Amino acid sequence: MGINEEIFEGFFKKLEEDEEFPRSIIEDLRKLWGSEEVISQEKILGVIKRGCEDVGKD
Amino acid sequence: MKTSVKIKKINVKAFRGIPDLELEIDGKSLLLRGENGTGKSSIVEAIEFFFTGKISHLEGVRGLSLQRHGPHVNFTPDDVNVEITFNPGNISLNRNFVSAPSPPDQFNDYFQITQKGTFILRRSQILEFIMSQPAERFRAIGSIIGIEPLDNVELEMMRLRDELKGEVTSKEKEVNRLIRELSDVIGKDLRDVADVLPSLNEILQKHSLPSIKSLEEVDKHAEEMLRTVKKDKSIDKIGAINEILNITNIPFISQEIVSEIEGINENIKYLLQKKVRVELSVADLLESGRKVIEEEKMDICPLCEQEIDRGKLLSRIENRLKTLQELSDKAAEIRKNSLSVIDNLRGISDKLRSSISKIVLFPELSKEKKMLQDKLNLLKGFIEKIESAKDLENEIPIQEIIQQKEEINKLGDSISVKCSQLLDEIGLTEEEKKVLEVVRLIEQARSKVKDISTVSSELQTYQRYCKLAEKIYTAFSDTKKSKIQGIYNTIQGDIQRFYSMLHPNEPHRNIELMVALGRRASTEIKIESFGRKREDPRALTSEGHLDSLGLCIFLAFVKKFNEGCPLVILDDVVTTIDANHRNKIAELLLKEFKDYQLVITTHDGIWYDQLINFQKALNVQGNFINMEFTQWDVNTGPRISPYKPRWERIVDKLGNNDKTGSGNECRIYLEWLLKNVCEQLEVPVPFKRRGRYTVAELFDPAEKRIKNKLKDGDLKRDLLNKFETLKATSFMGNLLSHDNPEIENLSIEEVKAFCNAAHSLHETFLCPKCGMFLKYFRDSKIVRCPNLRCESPKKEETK
Repeated sequence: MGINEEIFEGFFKKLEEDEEFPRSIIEDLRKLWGSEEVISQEKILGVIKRGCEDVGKD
Repeated sequence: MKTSVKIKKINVKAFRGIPDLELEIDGKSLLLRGENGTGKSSIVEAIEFFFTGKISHLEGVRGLSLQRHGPHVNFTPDDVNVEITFNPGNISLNRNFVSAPSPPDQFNDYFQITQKGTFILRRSQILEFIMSQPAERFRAIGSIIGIEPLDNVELEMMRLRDELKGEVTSKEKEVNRLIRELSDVIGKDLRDVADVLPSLNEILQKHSLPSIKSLEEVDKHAEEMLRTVKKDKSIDKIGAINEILNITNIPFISQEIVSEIEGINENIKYLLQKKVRVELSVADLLESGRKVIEEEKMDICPLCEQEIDRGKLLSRIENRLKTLQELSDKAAEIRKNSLSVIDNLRGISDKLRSSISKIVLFPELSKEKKMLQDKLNLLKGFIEKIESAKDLENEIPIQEIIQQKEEINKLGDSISVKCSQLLDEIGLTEEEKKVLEVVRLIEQARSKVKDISTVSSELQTYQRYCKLAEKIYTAFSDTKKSKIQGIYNTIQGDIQRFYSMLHPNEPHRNIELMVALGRRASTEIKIESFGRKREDPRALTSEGHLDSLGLCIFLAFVKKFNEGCPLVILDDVVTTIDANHRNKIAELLLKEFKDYQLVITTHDGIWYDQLINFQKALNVQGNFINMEFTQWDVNTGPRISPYKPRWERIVDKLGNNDKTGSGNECRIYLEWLLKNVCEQLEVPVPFKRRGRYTVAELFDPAEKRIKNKLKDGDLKRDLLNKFETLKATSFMGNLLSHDNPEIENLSIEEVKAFCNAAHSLHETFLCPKCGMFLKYFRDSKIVRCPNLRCESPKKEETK
């Protein structure tokens, strides 16, 4: 595993350790990282908004 | 090392100073010596171009381009071709201006690293790395360890968090403003919405009216209260008047909004005075200029082409960029605050519209209706002016706004008075009027509570987004910092070990690379010097020490991160380092990087010789191709000769009866020899600020040291004889008498005698077994061959 992957894995692990953090946001961030798209603030905000909507629905 | 991909052959055509050249190195390391301008950098540039498609020092410099300055002056870009043949597999790949090399799969690791260009170190880069700001240093390291893309991700996360924080602050401000307005309506200082219901019930109770259980019931309650007003036929009219009074009883435009607009306008005026729009438009230009001047060490302004004082200009640019950043932040704040004010003014427009729609029922208020319509249009115009002012196109017409605030609020007052008169005409009792007042009050309160509820809900949403964005940024940033610090920790050992090899017994230790925790992307270098812990190395070490520290850091990173790529190029990296430390660098490279394919260029003959001596001492001569670029011509390019030891060059010149050439070469040779003797035997010599010593200044102290330090024995006797023989030569007589050696007055035989004596002295200082120069070991009281692997070291005890 390269250093970039290691950092992202560590990052996701840290978010997962936070029980209050919505799982769907972690999953979407994982997808965003895996998609090789440029990770912009607009895209991260999109992930957060979707995640909050999902939590609202639940 | 996963793979042993090595360069076998380099073919360069029509590139930089090389018309056509083939270097067969057969997977070995290449040591290149050449005076300035003999074409050795062209070789490095050709290798860099092959792997990266660029020449870093041509990048970003106005007037310089790879397309224009890459090709040799006698050729066109179409003629350029760099071909490198690799082992294993004898695979030839090439790069020109239209195609890049397509390496086979087994070369992937090698090319992934080489295409980043992080295998080349130039002297300018070393000093830049040490002297640069922590953030730039972090970027440089980031490029070696390949985390640049993550840096951008982190930056985006940080920007999102900051933007959401701004939204939260703006919404909090709005809620506070609405609560203050609500306090004015109720006539009591409220802290939050929860205080509203008890306060309203207090009022209702005071007027002996039934209390309400929740704010949602206000409409129903108000209707019931209105029914208690007896004029059944006028009930609709009364309700409408009451609604108008609801709006007009509170000033349309509060002083708070005007003060806010005034504050924004003060900032706009300041920025307009500073011509910020024009200034900000040159920020990118300044940034590019700074980069170019700094990286290319330019002493000519890239814009006006006038001579400049680089240091002063860089400092001025730095200050301007700092000021521009402050101005840019202020402009961003203006935009944010203006948007909040525009929102408020739109809210006021809605109120005016609402009043107009209700006033329609009353012909008595037709004049006021027209006036309200005019004011509505004026307000629309103000909003447009604030829109353009926020983009710094103009100031806000603040006096007009103040005037209109007075007029609009006065109009509201006048409507209130007329509405009260209309109520009087309906003939309401005092009791009924009080009921109506209370209804107005609870309806106004309800309206404000509704606004507060809407904004509070938005605030909660933004707070939630912000909290999540903060968690995302913190988790990412902390992980990244901790991983990178982990990397630093793993290579600190190598950095320290390399540095100690170069500077043993010196008071510098505990070199640390530290991720600056308080900053987003920043690396600090700390060193323990003279017992002072965690000092900035620039404070306490010489330029030579800084260079060697930079070299050690580079080599440690290369070792850790260029795994899979054994290629390391060091382009003239030891300029500021003294002969003794250069010797140690030679040892470090040949011992620690023996499995690598090194390409080392230098103009320094002494270091070149030192590297060759170490090749012999460590028995790795077979791993090296040693070459000299003797001269360069635009049509033929560099002239390359295989390595020839200095003594052989002198012998050649003596053979050609070249008295001047051989005499001068031998004088330099003797100067180098005596310097080496003084360094290795720790000979006390008078201190000189610039450290440049002549033969005459070193000869006597060196001889005296042999006489006084060595115990009587063969070595001492031999050396002293050699000193005597050398002193007896006519050439030496000239040198020792501080006269210019007039070689023309000497015979070739006399020059030959001098050369032989110098060479003989040199030979006596070398270990006959491994060729290493003898060294004094103070603790063991011995002069001996320093090569610990030497099977039969030459040695002599000292007193």
